Amino acid sequence: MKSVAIVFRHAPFGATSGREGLDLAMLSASFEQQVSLIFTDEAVLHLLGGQTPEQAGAKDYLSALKALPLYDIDTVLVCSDSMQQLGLKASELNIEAEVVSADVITKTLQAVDEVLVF
Amino acid sequence: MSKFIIQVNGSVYGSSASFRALAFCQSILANGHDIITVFFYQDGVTNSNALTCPASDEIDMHAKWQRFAQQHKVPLTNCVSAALRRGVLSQQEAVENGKKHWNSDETFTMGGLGELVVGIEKADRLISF
Amino acid sequence: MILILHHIQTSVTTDNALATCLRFIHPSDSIILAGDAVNCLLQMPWQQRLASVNVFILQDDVHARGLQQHIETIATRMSPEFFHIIDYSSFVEQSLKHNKVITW
Repeated sequence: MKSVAIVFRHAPFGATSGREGLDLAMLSASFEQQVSLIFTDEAVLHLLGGQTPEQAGAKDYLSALKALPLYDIDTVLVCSDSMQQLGLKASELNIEAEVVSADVITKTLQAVDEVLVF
Repeated sequence: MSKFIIQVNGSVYGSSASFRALAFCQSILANGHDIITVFFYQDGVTNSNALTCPASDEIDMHAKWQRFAQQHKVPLTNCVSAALRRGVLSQQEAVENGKKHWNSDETFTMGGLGELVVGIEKADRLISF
Repeated sequence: MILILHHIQTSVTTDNALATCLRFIHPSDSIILAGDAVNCLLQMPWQQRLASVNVFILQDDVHARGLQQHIETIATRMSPEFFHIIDYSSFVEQSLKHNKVITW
């Protein structure tokens, strides 16, 4: 078993990287890898409630975020600098996630075996 | 000797990431190391499109990957779901999806994301391009 | 100590990969600039931001862009122990000397 961190740094819907990163996260977890997710930059927008991806021509992959605990993905970190930059509050997040400082993310990147960025 | 897994996300044309991935792979072998597989994900799956026809004075990344794999017996693996979404099909996928044509040849094996995950588990290093 | 090699491939004018990487980099980590990412060295603010980081620059991408002289001049302003122009073989070597490579 390896520990893997998947970093999301792109906005939802403009590209498919968020969706393809989430696919890899869930698959890694189902292969018994220890998976952590990190949302930074505009990717933090993935976590807001009330989104309708269909209106942007995207599959509703965001609903899969709700299922993360079922995959034993319990570590979901959100960059506080990015949240602040976009004027978002922790209370607006639609899933269980920890808003953390850059320093906590640095430590996580160091602690895991591999990091994949989407 | 170390074991590498290489992930290619850059497309066959319009990005230079695939070119650098291949140069890196050649250097891995030249330095006596091993490549478990080159895994093509996201737009990287287009590297397996055998119908790319660049002009004769242009670089042909599909042909270069094909030659590299054959020469050094390095497995090339496409993420099948990423490939299907982008119109990259092997004969088998074409038949299964009722399509008359296919464009991915047998140098590139269609596999699942699980192969990337298992490869990462076995490898000493993962490098993405 | 865990050492990370941060791999940047895109131009700072089209992508914030380098900026994001610098937010999370540990002082003991290194950066490799490849592809259009090498162009950031032409800009003074990026030279300053990278001055205290161990930086590798992929030689082929510098040569391909005809930037040898510019980069050599910039190198004289950076600390030599932190500024290395390397070939693919050294890139492979550095990927193994570090504990992991993060491609941003």
